[in-house]
Amino acid sequence: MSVSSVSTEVDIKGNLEALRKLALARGAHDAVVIPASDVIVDPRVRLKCLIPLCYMALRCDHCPPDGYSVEEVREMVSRYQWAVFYRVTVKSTIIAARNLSDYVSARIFDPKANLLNLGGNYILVFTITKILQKKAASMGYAKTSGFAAGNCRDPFCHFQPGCRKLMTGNNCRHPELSSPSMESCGMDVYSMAARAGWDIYPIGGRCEPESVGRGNLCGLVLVT
Amino acid sequence: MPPLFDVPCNVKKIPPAKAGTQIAADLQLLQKRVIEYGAAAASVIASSQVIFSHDVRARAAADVSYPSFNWPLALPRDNMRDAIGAYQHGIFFSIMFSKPLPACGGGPIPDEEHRRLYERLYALVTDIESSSFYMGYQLALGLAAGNCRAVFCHSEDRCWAMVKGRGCIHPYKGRPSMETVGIDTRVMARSLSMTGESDNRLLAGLVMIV
Repeated sequence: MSVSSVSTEVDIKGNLEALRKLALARGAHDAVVIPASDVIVDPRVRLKCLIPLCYMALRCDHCPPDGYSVEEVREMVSRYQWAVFYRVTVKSTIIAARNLSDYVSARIFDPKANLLNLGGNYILVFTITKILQKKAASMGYAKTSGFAAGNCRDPFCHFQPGCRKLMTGNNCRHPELSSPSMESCGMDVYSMAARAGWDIYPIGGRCEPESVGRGNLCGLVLVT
Repeated sequence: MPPLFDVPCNVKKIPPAKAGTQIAADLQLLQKRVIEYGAAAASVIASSQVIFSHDVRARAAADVSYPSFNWPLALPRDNMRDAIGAYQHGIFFSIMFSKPLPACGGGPIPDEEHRRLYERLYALVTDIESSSFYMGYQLALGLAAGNCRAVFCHSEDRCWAMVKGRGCIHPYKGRPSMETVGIDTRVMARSLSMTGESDNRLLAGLVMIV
């Protein structure tokens, strides 16, 4: 199918809706089609990866202080009109499990396997993003841009000594799976999720499962 | 020091938009708590009241004798000034020492009593930042004073965050200082009438909230 065959407004709307439904079918809890102009790019967001310093900052090529700058992301987003925004929900007993942040920082697995479970949910977000991009390409949208959640080193290169692209400048080990996260690109996921009508809580190291509702891992594919 | 807020009871859902009255009330509450927790003075400020100085930033950038990730802060792909300008409000506060503080810049802090004062400042900054986060201000950002390596890692032979493949060993305590991002703390304190008789006994912190 050529790009010209999907250029009518009706086709675009139908294709975006098909992509939204595909996200749901592949494991997203919610998915919405949004105008690309509703993607909130804010210079403060990337700083929250650095202040306080996230354990993955300086360790993953997609994460600040590396990765795309806010200006690059704004320019990228401005080239699109429509996007599919989705969330994968995670039980608070997993994402806000007691002492989980200590295990994350130490990069060791917890005895209750909450970290493995959480990692599985992150992999689901990366996977949905890639599936949507692949499907969009088959519809004729060849130049999509996909974003996932968190860093890609933990889910895909956890047992490797480091991010190969960052450490050596060579190619990424898993380009077919890896995407930058929305937040590493300065997208204000919290505000975007809240505006989509989704319940979203600030979950941090001091949270406990009872403190919050479920957690959200969000992804975005800029389609056309 | 116990946290300003009991997190398990106070985590707020992020709303689609925050009402101005709610923001004002939250800022006042945070300001009050900072004073209760030992700050000499605290002001709710607009981001336009943050005073940047090229000289302050240049001095910090040139002070490389005791480097850490946060001193001198070098973020080539991010613009701190733009980011701080994107906030509407923050809380600027000061703590005072009983005698003049030596100008340590980004270097070690030899006097333990002085170091404890810095620790108190960092504790307040991180606590306000963290409390703001759980109150629904997910972009709250704290800046302290000096070099966090001199405060928390003075017994280490390096800043571990700067070593490839390693990470910060005090991520929940360390923050960049105002001076390393180019904020003129002294001028700001004076403009907010916080200095009193002498400004060389003062340490200041800034948490941009919303």
